[in-house]
Amino acid sequence: MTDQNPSTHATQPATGATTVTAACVHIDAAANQLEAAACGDVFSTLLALAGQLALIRGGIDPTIRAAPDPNDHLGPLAHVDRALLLLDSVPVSAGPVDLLVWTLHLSDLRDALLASGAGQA
Amino acid sequence: MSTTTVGDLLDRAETLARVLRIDPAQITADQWRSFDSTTYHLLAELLGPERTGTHAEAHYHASVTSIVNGYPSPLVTPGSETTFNARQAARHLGVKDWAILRDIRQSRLPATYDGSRYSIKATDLSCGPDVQPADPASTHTLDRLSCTLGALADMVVAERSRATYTPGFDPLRDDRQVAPVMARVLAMTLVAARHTLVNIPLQEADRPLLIARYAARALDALGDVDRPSGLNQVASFSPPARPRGPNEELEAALRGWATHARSELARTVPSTEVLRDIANQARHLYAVSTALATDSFTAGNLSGPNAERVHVELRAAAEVMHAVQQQWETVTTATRPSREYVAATTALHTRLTTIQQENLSPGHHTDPARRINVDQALADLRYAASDLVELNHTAAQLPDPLIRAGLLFAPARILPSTMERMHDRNHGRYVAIQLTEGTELIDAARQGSSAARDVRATLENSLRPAETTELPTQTRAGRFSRQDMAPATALSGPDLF
Repeated sequence: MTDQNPSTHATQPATGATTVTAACVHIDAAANQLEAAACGDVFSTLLALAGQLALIRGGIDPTIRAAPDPNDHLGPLAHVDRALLLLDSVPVSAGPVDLLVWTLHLSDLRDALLASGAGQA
Repeated sequence: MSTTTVGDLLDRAETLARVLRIDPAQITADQWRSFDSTTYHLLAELLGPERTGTHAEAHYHASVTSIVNGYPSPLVTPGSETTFNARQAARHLGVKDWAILRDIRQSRLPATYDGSRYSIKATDLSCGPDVQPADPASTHTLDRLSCTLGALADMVVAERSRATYTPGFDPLRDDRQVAPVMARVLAMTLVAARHTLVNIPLQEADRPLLIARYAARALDALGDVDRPSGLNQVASFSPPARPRGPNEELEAALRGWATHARSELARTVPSTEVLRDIANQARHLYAVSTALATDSFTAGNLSGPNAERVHVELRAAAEVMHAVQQQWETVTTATRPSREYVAATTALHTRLTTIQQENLSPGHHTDPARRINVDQALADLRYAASDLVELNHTAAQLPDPLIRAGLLFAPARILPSTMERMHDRNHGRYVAIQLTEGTELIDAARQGSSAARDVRATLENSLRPAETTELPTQTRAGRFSRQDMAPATALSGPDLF
């Protein structure tokens, strides 16, 4: 079990397991950013979206967390897009057997993120 | 809303018992046997298994047990968990004690002996011919009464077998809460038996007469019991399979989520992602409840002070839930959430967000057909607040045993640095946390449980009066629509939890 920095894996070519790890890191980073964007308003819809993202990340691999990265310049939507890109690039014989389902959930959530206008938070 | 409580079913059964008195339809022996066996089944389930308690509780339980055990030669055996001693078995079968002892010694009746008494499984006692349950499609009043009492028995069984429970609310283990319900059932039994006596073929009249006498004696033995009972509040839900409209969609999403959340908490090692998500959904539910309460105030259905109270208290609880969520975020059991749970929580998230965006946003115009009924939605959310009490109470019990079992992990970088952890820290690894390192999580989870209880109380006190103010103007019978009194087919298989 490891916790990781989001900027380390996003654009690097990787094998199945590390690609999934990198995708999880991006999802967690997006969740953290949305939570920060809620600015402490506990009734903010951004927190619900952040929770959903964290749950999907936990569904793929509950042991991956994004370590805080001060040089992270991506927004939540960009992180989710990168995560989707990485998940789609995982070789079909690698990664969790239900990866397709989690990718579908993430894709649905991307639409919700876009609809809420929270993508650039 | 497709929610039924024990109180609702009792009211329905009592109304049917009143209708039965003026129903001239003949009663067959099979119809009577169905009613007879259902009544016994319900009484036995209300009594439940033996239990320990204070001297006064044990004394009271013994008297209630004696009433149920006095049921004359029941036509069915109680649940598979029930055991009898030899005397109880004899009473159950309506035979002499020595006949049971003889059957045990001649190996015709399986029994175990603990050195002082025999223990016989209820399921090993044959009770004569098979009794069929009442036909749920029948329009005969006695059949409908049997079906209603059968649904009530099913609710009691489901309530007893819950994986999680609400602290301070366990009416089935409190005989003083059970007794009023039992008394109402016995009163209905007496009415039904008396009515059956004059409407059943003469050669079949012995049994209803016996049961009528028993019910009268049992009612006297129970003594004066107050009508109110916490058991009346136990609810069962049957959300629509194909929800239509925003209210049905909300109800289906809430029930689906609560059911799957309970299943997740019952896992041997629950997922911390789910525990975190429960806190997140609690916060979201409180946000939507507050918005709906504000909407109800604007429409003139909720008083200003009540709306203000809901707003203040639910926001405070949402802050606590957010803190709980943040604490669960720091640890993991490395268990993945089930796909079913994620699908259910996503559906609930979507529904709640839609309500916030389409129905509650100022200036947003929604198609009237898609507009949510705010009061009905608040009633559903009030039930959800009760679910959250139960879920958060269960969740608050988890950190301690998980830590002691070495099953709760956290990144070494966020934990106090020790020589042993140096290597793990440098490699960004997770390590099992110590009990002293979990105190914040334990405290936060307990506060979450307490906050959920406060919210439930706030919603009960602030929202319920607005509903019940209408009731005094309605007659008791008038509260049941024609549809309510239709044959109880829908009650045969509710999705109880």
